[in-house]
Amino acid sequence: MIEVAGLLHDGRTSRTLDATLRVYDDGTARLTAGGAEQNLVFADLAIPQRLGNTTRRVGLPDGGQFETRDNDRIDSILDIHGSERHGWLHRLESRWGIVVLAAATAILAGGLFAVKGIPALARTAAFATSAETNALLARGTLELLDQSFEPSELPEPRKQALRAAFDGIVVDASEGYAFELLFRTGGLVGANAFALPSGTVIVTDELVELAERDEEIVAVLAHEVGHVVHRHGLRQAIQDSLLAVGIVLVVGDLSAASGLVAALPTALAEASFSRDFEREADEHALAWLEFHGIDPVHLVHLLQRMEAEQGGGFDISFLSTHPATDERIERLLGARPEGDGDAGGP
Amino acid sequence: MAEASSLGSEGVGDVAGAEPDFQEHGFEFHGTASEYFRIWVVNLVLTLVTFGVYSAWAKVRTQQYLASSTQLAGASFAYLADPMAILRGRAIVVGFFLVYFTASLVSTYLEFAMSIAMVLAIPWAVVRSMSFRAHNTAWRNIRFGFRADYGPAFGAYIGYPLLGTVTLGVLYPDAIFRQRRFIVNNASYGSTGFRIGSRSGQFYRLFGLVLLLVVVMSITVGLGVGLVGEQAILGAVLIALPFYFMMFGLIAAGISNLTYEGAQLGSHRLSSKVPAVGLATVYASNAMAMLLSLGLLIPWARIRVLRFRLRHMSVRAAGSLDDFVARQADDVGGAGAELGESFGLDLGL
Repeated sequence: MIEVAGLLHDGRTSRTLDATLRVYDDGTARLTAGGAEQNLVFADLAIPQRLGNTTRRVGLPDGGQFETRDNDRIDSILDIHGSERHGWLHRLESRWGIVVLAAATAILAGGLFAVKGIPALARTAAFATSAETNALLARGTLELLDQSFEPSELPEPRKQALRAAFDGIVVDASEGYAFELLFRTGGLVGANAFALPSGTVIVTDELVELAERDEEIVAVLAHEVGHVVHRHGLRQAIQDSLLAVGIVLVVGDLSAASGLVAALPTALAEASFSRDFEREADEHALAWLEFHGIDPVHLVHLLQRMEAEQGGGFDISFLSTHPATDERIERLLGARPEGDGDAGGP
Repeated sequence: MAEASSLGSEGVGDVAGAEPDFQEHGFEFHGTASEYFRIWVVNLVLTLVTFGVYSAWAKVRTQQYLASSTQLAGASFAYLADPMAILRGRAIVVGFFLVYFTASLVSTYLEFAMSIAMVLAIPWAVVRSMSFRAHNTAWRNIRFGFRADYGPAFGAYIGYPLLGTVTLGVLYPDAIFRQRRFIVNNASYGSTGFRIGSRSGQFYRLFGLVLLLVVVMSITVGLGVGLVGEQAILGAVLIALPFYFMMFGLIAAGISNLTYEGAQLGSHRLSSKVPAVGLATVYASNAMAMLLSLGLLIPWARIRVLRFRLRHMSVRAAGSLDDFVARQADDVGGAGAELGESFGLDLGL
């Protein structure tokens, strides 16, 4: 006979009674509470599986509940009279070896999934959709951007020349995109270029003026076209949402203050995604420039001048969305044919 | 019977002094970080392995652990939700967002219509979520409950907050007060309703303090950046961080205290005296620990916050707690709970 002390709650009122549950060797049971007795059999008792050392609630046929913290005795009853002693979850949870192994696996798998899996999934998804669907993502973006831009003040012949150069680049790009080159005054944005998923590329007057040779602008345009044909806009949207879901699954419903903790890995991962896109666009530009016999050093020169203009200085590479300029330059120059010297320089 | 006529909210602050026979019952928390860590890791791995499907079961197991580890007057709380209900709820949420995303690709007007529909659904989702959670929480084998109509929910979650924004925040503390009152006054234990004990003015005092903190922070950061100069961004972050945690501690403790302190349940009272500075310290050290441990100390941090908050909460019972009566059973599905979760509304009642 096993005797367990606990409390009885009948389920009709919140009255609590000190109670004793006795389970006899022949499978009969008796519950004594507040001077009353209930005769039961083991099969009447709904005994939940163990969850750590938390309170165990044994369900009774009349809707009542016997509550106890004496998990060991309840487990002994289960040992003698039947069914499984613990659920498989409790077995997993009570073995530190398994838990440590699981934790290590989870960290490794989670990290690998964030860094490799999410970008791969996003790439597959982005290229599974048609170019037209991809372009839908850009709807309204130009209007939004134009709120911070002013119309371009470049002379029309200059624009015509650059448009012709742009057409030369996009002729080689895959079909399905509505390529178009637009000029704007950047204002606060300064010298920069943007690509929308639809194929619209925007160049600021400041960038055109900063460039000393047309090859430099052409190189930047090839980089932006790289963003378009690699569908970076759609892929970024997919990656960021997958990442958000993943982080919520891991971190769970943390309080607002600890949200700061979730924000950091999010920012790190997003910055890493963005740097990968910049590298991919650089490679696209590089391939195009090489094919057309243009020295990639032109992109380098413009990058250097842009950095000088923006002041640079505060460059923490793991937080920045573009690879450090020096690193990009090194890669671009590394790709040049041997013995090419600095022939293309001004 | 505890179907006590409510005493009305006037003069609540003096009641404790006037009735000396209140007996204080503290919340005891028996959970340990070591136990919860193991449950958390197993949950995490199973969730990853099943591509998120297990998360519904993980949630139930976690809530069961935390509820069953919390004791009041000798008996512990129980979490009774069915994981399948939560899974169904999550499926509905995912389905809704897929429709929303597709619609946003098809046309701007459709997207606009969908956003309006979503805003209109928020009050419904909040009520569903709170009903689900309350209905599936029990103490002494009696369930809690939450019932509210759409109209008041719309006011509490859309109408008044909007009014608060339109008035540039002047009416915002009042909106938060109305939200908390909505939550408390529609909640019940068995067939007995809760009644909030705080007043609108106390929320103004709280948000006034928060505003003061923001002003002090701005001045300090401004001065600090002036002194540090070159490394301005890093310096500003370092100076602002303690204020950030203090602000969260102040808001979290303040809202919790204003929600529960003096709230009535029949002739009994709830008490919540969570100290803001203490809570801020717990938050700050938790954040540090979680960062340095690459997230491994998340379970430890959660247990710590819960234990800290519960230590400062209690029930002041006017006589016996034996007389609450169960309400007739009614089932509440999981969809609302999951919608609430996906909107990030965690309203720990």
